[in-house]
Amino acid sequence: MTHLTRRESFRRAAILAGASGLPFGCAPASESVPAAWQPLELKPVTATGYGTDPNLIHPAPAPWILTLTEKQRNLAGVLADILIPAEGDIPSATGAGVIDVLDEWVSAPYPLQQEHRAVLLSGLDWCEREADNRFGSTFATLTEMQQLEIVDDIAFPERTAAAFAQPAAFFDVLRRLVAGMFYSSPEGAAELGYLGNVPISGDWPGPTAEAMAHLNEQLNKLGLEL
Amino acid sequence: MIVVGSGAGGGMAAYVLTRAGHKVLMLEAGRDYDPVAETPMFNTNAEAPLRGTRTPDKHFGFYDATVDGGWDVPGEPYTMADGTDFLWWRARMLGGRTNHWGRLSLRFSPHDFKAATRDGLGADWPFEYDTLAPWYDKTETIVGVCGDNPGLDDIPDAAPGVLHKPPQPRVPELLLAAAAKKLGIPTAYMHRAILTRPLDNRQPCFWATPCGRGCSIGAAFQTTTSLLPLALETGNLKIVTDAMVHTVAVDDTGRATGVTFVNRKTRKPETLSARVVVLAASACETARILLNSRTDALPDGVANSSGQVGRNLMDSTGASFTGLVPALENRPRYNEDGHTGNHIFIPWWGHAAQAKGELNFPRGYHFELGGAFPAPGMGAGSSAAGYGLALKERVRSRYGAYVGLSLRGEMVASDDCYMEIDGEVRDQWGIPVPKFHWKWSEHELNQVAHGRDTARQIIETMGGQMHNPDQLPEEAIKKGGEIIHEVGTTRMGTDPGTSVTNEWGQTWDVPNLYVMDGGVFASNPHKNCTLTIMTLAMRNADHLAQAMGRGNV
Repeated sequence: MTHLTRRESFRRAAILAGASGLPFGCAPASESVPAAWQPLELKPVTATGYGTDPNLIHPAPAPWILTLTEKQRNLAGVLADILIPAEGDIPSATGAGVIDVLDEWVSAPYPLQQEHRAVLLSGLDWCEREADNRFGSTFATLTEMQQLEIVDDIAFPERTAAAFAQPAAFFDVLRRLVAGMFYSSPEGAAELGYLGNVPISGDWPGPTAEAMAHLNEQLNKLGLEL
Repeated sequence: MIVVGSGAGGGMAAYVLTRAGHKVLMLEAGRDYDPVAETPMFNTNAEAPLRGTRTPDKHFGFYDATVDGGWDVPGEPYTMADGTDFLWWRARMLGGRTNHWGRLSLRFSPHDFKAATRDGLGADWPFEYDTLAPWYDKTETIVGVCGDNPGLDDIPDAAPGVLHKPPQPRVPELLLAAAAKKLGIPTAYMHRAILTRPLDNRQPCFWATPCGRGCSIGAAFQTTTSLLPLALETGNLKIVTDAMVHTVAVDDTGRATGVTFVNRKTRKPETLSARVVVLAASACETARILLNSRTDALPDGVANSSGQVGRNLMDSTGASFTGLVPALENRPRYNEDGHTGNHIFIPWWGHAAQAKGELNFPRGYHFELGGAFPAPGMGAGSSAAGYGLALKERVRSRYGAYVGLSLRGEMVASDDCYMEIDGEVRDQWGIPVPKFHWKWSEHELNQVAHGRDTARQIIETMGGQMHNPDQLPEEAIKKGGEIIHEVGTTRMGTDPGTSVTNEWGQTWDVPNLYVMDGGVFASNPHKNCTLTIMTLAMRNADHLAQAMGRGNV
């Protein structure tokens, strides 16, 4: 019996999956043994925050030092763009500057952000080890299909295998942060169609005719009336 | 005379007294603050650290107006009894909490002033609604309140011409109202202290930028753009900031002689004398001052022969119920900012059911209705699932499709809820701190359970699904103090044995010592307390000004 390394067996499995014409990004959940979740031991961030009386009109850049390494920023960027890819003229997450905000976030001295720092850095580390485990490479240099094979195992909590529970929890935190940061960027707000934050003189104009037509249609369907 | 505090009560007291020709020295614990120069109008979340999200430095988010405050004030701790989880919000700035409050301005109703007569719980107020009605009219005229008179028993009418025109409801509010209507539950325009026509030097709302940041154009009421500048115009007001008052001195004849404060800049105590002292430092700060003023002659504190100072501490009950409504998904976009608060709400509709004994809780609540296309912040990520274009499609379709019903209800004063002075802990100014005791009773828990079930019915009638529909009331109810409506610690009444002040806010024990903040509330109806704090302060400062004019104080 030929003795395959675990790495080689995964490589072959991936090639087979590709050859079988399985749709991209929809590979079945891996039945392999994933890399173990290893919480990183991190030195606590001890910087001071922006204080209880910051200048609100001209907010200064966050006073704490950014802490992500170049490698972590790159990997976070790859994952962020898998979460929020470019779409037509709309930039991807990295194109909208999300990684700078993410770095500010995980480097902040506040308890919630420190919790996220522990989860995110451990998760990025897991992604690298899992990329090596399955494909013998760093995550960023995997093919898109290989990257998505890993992501598919952790992106859908309702069908996540127990062995991926912690990486999936990491991915959920990353997803909420990246999506929040993207959609609160000017580009993301434009995509959502937010039209407020502009002064209007006189009475508030209220819903448009189009918005009311949609509401009336829904009211009819629900058997409700104003 | 001295007025301690520059918020709702102190601001109104100074306004009335200075216009009546009396010289007022106002002492404010926090720093000077100018909303015209300091309000971040139109700043976006993207311009703020951490996208403006809340942090321990800024508990309501980066742009919230609160200066040096929140649930924790640096160097100013408070303590709690075992089993108590109480939150005490403070702001250390001119104008106090009026700079960031929700501006919800509902009158108490005839029902509200006589609840104890009806159900035997807590205490009645020392007057009827009709006594206060003309003062509500005067207060609303100066403050500027938008809303209307729907003729419901929970919302007394304002005099014609007093209220400003309210903005019409948004689409999600209309759908909520339609669902409520099917269930026989009324909705009405929310009353908010927002101008929709000009007043004095203040401009009407231009329908943008959240009120919690403060309002540089003065449309959203705060004392720093209205009552304080108007009082300063008289030439009779002097304001001293960074003055942390900790005691009132009383002489052998039982009269107040003045106050002592710590100058926060020099960290040294200073003493001032005055003919009259008005405390409006907020319910818990005022009770703290009175209790900390104890002497050998007055071992229980000043104005505390009844033993009621610090007792009867009440907040509003609070709970938040939210749900996703498919009928609101992918709806046409328009600018839904409005006045950035709820345009309509559900007033308490259960007086008749309570009278018939059909409900298992004695006091009412209201729902503040939420639903709009919000200014995108970190919350925009909460609807994300999966990844890629599917994630984006889902976030877009669910934008503006969530609704919320925030319950705000009346709690009943209880022996379990009070504050005293901690015998050991002092703040950075050397002042002994309050120690809080708190426990919700069945009255509040049953009320929140009713609210949860009602919110669920409304959301399901809209075809939506409520998050966490089986949450226990003990889990759903917010913490004591969390709604920031703390009142009752120096309650007014008709009996010096069971109350701290008479109906004029004049302490029974010390005739030239008045309380003009929420401490004087005899009960805490579900409507937010600020409008009534200002109305009482106006009526009582007017009474005081006249008494002084006659030499009767």
